[in-house]
Amino acid sequence: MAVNSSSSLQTTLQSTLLAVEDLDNDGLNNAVGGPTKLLGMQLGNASGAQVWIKIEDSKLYSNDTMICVPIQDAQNMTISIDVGEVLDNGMVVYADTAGGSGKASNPGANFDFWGFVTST
Amino acid sequence: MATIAGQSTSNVLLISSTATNLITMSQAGFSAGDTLDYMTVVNGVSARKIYAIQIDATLSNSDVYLKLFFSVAKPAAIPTVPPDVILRGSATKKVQYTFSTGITWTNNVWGLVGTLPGNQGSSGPSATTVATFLVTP
Repeated sequence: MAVNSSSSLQTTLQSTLLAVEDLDNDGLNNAVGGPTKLLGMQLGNASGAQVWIKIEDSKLYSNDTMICVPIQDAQNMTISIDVGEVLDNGMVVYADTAGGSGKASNPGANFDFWGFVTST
Repeated sequence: MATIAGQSTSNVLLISSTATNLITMSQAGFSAGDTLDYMTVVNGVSARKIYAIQIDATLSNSDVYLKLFFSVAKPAAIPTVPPDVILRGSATKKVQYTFSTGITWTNNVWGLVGTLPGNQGSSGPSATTVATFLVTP
């Protein structure tokens, strides 16, 4: 699995942006500044175990998880959101080893995230 | 504690089913004194995947959160147990999520629609909210 990494993403969106991030460890707080609209994600999991991708609006590891989806090990998944979901305050994204709110532990290795966002 | 009157699911998968299924889960409008409760979405079949979920919150005046839980027995009342899947549906809108390789579950699938994100519970949508699942082998 190809691993791409960038430490920060563009926050001013006049047009659609493809964001790339290696999410093996800590998540991204304010990965994309708000308001922004999430249209989809591409996820690659080669961590050796199931991983949950989590999206929140502005607060990292909070109890406000708005999207949480399990990704099987050795699986690539594209999640599309037809009308998009708006994050008023900015997009927080992280990967976790358990579902629900907050952070249990990092996958540790080989979990990749690509976010597809646009202006609102 | 009373559960929400009018909660329902239709075409809940049974062990004998082998075809692609559309499953509809209807969360009735929430009234004072109601308590959110998980409904059965899939019963007895796990060798399948959820490839798409539509959340129709066009009648709701607040954002809603579809929460799914994978277990043999109905989970304890939310927020005791963290959901396996959380998806937001914005107020007054209909949204479709698609999953290219499908969401895999073990045992059964239980679901509810609340108005708080994350593990939080206790309140439901102001009006009937319908979630539809595309489930196929």
